[in-house]
Amino acid sequence: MTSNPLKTMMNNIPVPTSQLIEVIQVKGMTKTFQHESHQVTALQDVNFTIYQGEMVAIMGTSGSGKSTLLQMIGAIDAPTSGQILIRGEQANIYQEPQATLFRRDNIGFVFQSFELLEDLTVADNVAMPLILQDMPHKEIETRVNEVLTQVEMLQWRTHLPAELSGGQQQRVAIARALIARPPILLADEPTGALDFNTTNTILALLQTIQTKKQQTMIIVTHDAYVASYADRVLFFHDGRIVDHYDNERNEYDVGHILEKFKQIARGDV
Amino acid sequence: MIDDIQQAMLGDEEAFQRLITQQHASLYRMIYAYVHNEIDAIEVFQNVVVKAFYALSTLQQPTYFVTWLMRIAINESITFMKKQARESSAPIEQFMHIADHVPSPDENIDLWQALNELNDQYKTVLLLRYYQDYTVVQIAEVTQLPEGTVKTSIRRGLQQLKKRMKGAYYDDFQSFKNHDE
Ligand SMILES: Nc1ncnc2c1ncn2[C@@H]1O[C@H](COP(=O)(O)OP(=O)(O)OP(=O)(O)O)[C@@H](O)[C@H]1O
Ligand SMILES: [Mg+2]
Repeated sequence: MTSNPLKTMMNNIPVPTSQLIEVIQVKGMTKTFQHESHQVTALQDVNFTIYQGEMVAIMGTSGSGKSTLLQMIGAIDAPTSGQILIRGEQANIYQEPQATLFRRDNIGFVFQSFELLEDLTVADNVAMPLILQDMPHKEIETRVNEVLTQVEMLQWRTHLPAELSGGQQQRVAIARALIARPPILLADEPTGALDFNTTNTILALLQTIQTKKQQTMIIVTHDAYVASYADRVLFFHDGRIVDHYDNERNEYDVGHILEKFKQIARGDV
Repeated sequence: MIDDIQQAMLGDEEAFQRLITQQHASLYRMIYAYVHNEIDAIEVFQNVVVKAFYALSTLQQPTYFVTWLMRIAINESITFMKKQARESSAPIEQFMHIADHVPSPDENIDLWQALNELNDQYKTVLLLRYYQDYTVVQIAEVTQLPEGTVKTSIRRGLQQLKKRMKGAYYDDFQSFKNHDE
């Protein structure tokens, strides 16, 4: 459609991503693992809410429970106690077949190590979630082209992952995570294996997806710079949320986030 | 989307949420154009969602969903503003100036002000036509006005807007005008 001054002006009205629709509510979530001789408490009474269209960063030292948390939200593993509400409803997502269906319909995953299938082309990697849903070929093709265009990788569609740079592989992985249009995108250290410039392009991509599609996303990172792109940061330590930081109110201050993170790592909490 | 609408009409809350999610930015901005501040816009938005959910079974046909939702949003916004005006001792004009955020002030302040000086009917048809890209038929559905009245309102609304803009953006408005009159 043609643009006009009125439309431009209206599109400039910021839409508050928070407070509108609660997408994920985590309530009293605890997870313990039994090792041979002792128990490890990976998450301890974790509570938080994430709203439609928010980008939330999770920061914390190694072993603080970040990946465990994503696994609970992504229905890969069940918490020891506590519950999770998805769009206000209690989700019974930790038993099969609900878990698989929940993941299929609600979650896109992105990992530090990309996790692309090396024998498949870019297009086939991206198509995989839809192939598993038995979507008709024609529709899959349309969707693959659409999402590869979005991540600016369309011209690479027939290449194999090994022929791509790390940043390009991550773009493909993001396309794969989004192709089924999941309401929630979970990313565990998505820029952990990338250099600074590539990290920037991936962050810019995630931000575009967030604003254009109102995509709700959780990004686990230990990089304060990455966290400064999020709307909010939750700081984890020893399985608990020990602090949080509102970027929207505090002007996306990397230095401040880093300072908080250092304090937490030192144990000053 | 039609699937989701049919499911939502049968009471499927998740399908309904998906529909709201798709419309949420454009609905919110419409509401904001009437109430002029974030706190009220969020409140009205939430009322609209709740109202729509409970009224969904009265929707005649799934294809009307978007315009139907838009009608609820506009009605709720206007009702909200009237109620505020009634409950406040301040004269209505003062509401124009408590806008706590003018979208992108430098370029748009004149247009924003001009739009908000129009009466509700002109403002509504212009927003639907030029922000939502609705056709005259769709605007008639939303506003429940005859199509002829919609056309006239678009034309007169634009004229008034231009007059208030005192020639600013004049070139933009050339292309902005009549792509289906
Ligand atoms: N499958 C498992 N079995 C046993 N213990 C586990 C398992 N998964 C995680 N843990 C333990 O739970 C704790 C939290 O681990 P988690 O992987 O969530 O940390 P993390 O914050 O992601 O750390 P990192 O930054 O190193 O990735 C750790 O003590 C870990 O050893
Ligand atoms: Mg981890």
